[in-house]
Amino acid sequence: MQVNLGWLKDYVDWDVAVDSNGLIELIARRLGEIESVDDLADKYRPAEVVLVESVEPCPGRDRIRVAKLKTSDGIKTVVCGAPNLRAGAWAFWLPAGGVVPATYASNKPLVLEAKEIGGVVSEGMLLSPAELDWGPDHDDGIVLLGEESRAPFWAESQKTKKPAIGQSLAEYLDLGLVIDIENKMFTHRPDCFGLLGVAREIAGIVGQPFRSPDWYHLAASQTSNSDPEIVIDCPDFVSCFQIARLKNLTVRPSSVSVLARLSSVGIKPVNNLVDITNYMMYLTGQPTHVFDWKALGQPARLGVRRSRPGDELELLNGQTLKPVDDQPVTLVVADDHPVALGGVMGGQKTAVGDQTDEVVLECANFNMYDIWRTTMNYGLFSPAATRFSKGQSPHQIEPVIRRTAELLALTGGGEVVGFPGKSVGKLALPDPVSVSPEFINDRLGTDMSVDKIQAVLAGVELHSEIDGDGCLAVGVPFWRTDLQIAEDIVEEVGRLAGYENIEPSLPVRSISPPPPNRQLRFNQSLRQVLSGAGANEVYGYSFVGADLLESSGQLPQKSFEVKKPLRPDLQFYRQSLTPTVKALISQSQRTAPAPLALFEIGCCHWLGGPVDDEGLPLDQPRLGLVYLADKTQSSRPFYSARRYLDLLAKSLGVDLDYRPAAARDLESNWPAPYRSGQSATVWLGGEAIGVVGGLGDSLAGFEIDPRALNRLVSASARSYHPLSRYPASRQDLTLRVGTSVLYADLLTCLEGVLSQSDYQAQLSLLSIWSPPDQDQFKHVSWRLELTSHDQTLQTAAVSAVVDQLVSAAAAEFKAELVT
Amino acid sequence: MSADNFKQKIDQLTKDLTGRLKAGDSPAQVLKDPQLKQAFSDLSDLAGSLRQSAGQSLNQLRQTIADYRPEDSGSNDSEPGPGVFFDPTAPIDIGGQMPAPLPPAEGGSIHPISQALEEAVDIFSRMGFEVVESRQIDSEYYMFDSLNFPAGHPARDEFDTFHLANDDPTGRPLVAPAHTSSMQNRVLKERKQQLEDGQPVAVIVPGRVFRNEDVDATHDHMFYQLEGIYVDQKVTVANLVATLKEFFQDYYGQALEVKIQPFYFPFTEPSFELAISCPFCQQKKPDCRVCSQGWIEVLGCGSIHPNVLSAAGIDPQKYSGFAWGMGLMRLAMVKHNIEDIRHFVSGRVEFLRQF
Repeated sequence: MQVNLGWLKDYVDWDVAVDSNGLIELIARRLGEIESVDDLADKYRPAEVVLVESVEPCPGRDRIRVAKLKTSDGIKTVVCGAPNLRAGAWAFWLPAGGVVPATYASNKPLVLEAKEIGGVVSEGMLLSPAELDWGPDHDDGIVLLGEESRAPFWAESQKTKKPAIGQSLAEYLDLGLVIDIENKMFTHRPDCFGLLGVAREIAGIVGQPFRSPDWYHLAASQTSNSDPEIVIDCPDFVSCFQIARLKNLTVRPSSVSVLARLSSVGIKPVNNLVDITNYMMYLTGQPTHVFDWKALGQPARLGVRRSRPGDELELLNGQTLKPVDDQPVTLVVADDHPVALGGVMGGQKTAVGDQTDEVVLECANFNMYDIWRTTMNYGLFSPAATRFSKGQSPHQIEPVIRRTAELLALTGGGEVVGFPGKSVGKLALPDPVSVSPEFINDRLGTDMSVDKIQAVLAGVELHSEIDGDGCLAVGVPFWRTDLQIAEDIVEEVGRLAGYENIEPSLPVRSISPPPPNRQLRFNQSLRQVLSGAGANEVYGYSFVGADLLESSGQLPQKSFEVKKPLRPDLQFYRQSLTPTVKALISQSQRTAPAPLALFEIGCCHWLGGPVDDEGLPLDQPRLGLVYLADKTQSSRPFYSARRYLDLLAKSLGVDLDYRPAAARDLESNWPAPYRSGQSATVWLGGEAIGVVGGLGDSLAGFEIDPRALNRLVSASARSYHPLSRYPASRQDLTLRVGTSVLYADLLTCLEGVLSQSDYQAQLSLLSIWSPPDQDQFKHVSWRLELTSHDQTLQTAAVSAVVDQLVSAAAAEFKAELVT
Repeated sequence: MSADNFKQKIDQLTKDLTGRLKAGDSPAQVLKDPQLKQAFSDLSDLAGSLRQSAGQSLNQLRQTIADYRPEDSGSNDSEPGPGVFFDPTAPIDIGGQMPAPLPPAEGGSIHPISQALEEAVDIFSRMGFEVVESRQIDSEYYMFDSLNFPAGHPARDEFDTFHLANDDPTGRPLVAPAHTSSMQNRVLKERKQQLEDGQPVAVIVPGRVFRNEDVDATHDHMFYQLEGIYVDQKVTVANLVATLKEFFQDYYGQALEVKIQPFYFPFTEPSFELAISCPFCQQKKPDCRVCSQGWIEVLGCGSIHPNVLSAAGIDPQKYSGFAWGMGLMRLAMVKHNIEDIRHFVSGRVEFLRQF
């Protein structure tokens, strides 16, 4: 909401400085965030008010004339082609060196130069509406002053102002600071979409009286319903529909003051009649619309109905609206023919034009939800729709239509014929809100007196009385549709009295510790281990494209799908983390040399996955890691990815098992692009918790369920071996077995033997290799470490254990001891 | 085209496409084969009875492809490695380096969002807050209805929420939550008894949220929020301000000023935006790159709306509370002076290794 502070002064004064420590800060703290502050004086400097002393023909040139101007800098000469230029007129002059205001904010501001035209040096220019950024020029004329008596707001503020030579344009037109207050603040404040609402708030904030216009407090009166007859055919969508008929009007450009003020707050001037409706909308938040009575066809019936198949309407913005059956809209109709999209935009054919002399002014209350749906369904937005979708009060209609009609008659030189209107039922006024001063102080954490609370509320025309129980009955004026419950009054008091006056104080509570979130802590420990081993944590998007899913062997139709994705690559929820991490590592390798490992702890989703007791899908936590080997790495990258898992297991005090993964395991349980012949499922405590596998020639990775891992780790106790007083004895051992013998099986066999011995034993792998030209065999070497709690072990005792190991391995795997 | 010709064509097509499957192409890729598409469009050239049987054959082929699962073929699709036999149960490859190589340990890093999260969780845990995680798919009920957004209310639009093509069990579209406040109702309902036993509800909810916003240096469609919820008897705005002030002072390790400004959220009344005094320039540098005139807006907050408490079965006459939604990415960006939000999901190692 743009607010021209000069205009605001019609309704409120303030005695604080207008700067970031004064009024601007107060507004931000007590009303809403200020997005920008612009000084229009900068834009219009150095244009000034001048008197045209004389106008002479330009020798040899028909279409231009030479004018002598009385300026602050003496008599100046300008060459001008405006047909309305005349001696004795007051106008705005921009001297050479000034920037043409319409180009002020553009990339290339136009700086005026003194120029010779028709043999005369023109010292600047007299400004037209377009050059002043006040909308299109009319008949190529310049702006002439002196019609301010017709300007509606002069009548309102009871001010008169006469032009004076040399006065700056900005000062003459009260064009100073314009602040833009963030609209989101006013989502529930329809009144603040009007200047009166904002002015009332500022009056309350600065503790000054609000000059509330008398006309705004006009109560609804009995209206006739004839000529034309008013018809509300859709009472669920329109609660009140009223019109005023006016005749003998003249359409022309608005006066300078109106042009300047509307333009200052971003409203494009059109003509004197339309400008008045926009002016009143800006002032009150209540949109109205003027129709050309003759273009309407002088209907016998005027009103509103829902759209029907076949309806068609050419809108003011040039679009043709054809409402679809399942997205009906509310139409203003004249003898049943659509003439406007109710609450959003008027029709092109019934718009006020230069020849219009008789109009219908329409003012209605449209349902905010319906207007919002219409704007969203049809992509049609307008200042009127913005205001209606905040829920304007129907009680505004009577004062606004009366005042608007009065101003139209004033500016158009015509007269009001009548005010036919109709309401659906009785329009109820809001109920008073009851709230105790204790409740207000309890919620805010303050200690304000009743008098203080009442005074704060009265500052914004919220008058209250104290009832027998000591509660305040706060009267709710019709424009405050947002005030319904006690907490709403708490907000008003806290905000207007200044939140900065609330002394912060911590809540008092018992010291019992909150329950821990063990999973979050567990995930953090996983991060520590992986990053400590050189891996980098990444965050990927939750949404992926069909291409990524398909290239990972995943079916998009198994993913949850975003209805209107931002981009095709953000259309589906991911089913696993690995494809995202793999894509990120592919990008990273351009800038970071391999070896490289990226991991992510996140969530996945798929259709048919786990749901809660309401049937809503649950997040499936995952830890995914992808390892990229450098070109010199001779072993398969699988083993590097697996090593990360082993490091995690070691840090958690558990042993993971790996089993060759069948293609079916990968497809059904761990949807990820792992190569079936180079992958293993990861097991802990008899439960599969993930998969580790090859992803390409130099890529491998794993994806596990960290929640299952945490649960299983928590269920298993760390085993501790008491320390021996005697030193350990070590002996290396190499067995030759067939290549196809699984390492885990061989190890299980050996550990079975060791578990039967009297010693504390540990086998540490040293190497696995195949002799040259003997691919069918592999040599597996361990270091055996034996510790006794009774004695220092002699070589013979160690050799006896080794013999048992060799015998067991030979029996089960035809293993041979390599010496 | 005769029946025989078409049969031959389908046989050849079956051979080609199953060949692609065996060669390692995924069913989804093979289903997009132009030959298959062409065969379906050629059906229209066939006579009625022939068209029916040929159509059945093609549909069967399509089903066969969709259902295809490669046999567990051992080293079938493995590339020749240093050892021919693949033994996933061993810690190293045959002939492989012991232990298997990893990147240099000093290059590892924890993501800055995880670090911000850990730090925030640590502070709030010390202040007595419990941690509950959010969800990435939820219902309109939790996203809007339970949070005092009337059905069809224009305020719903301001949250730029992604709706899903999939419905919840009540037939309404699921949503990608646009704020962690979608967890408020669950958190409050589950702790109603705790409240009645005299213990306040003090919970933080970190989570991913999504908004239909164009991506630029300061906006992304996905970001991290940390919701805070505190409910007890006689909880005040003064408590809210003090709690958040305490947090930010601990997070930035210095004394700070905080201020609240009015805002609007349907689920809090009153609602605020909270700003902290700049911890970098101490409000002394007009040209500070981080703050705006000495202040940094950090979050939206407010007193929990009585309708939100009622929706969770909590008596708003007896209890009151406050809630906030803090952007974790923003917290990290401000702390480290990160200039572009897109770095967080870029996977760029030169970014990650700075943390």
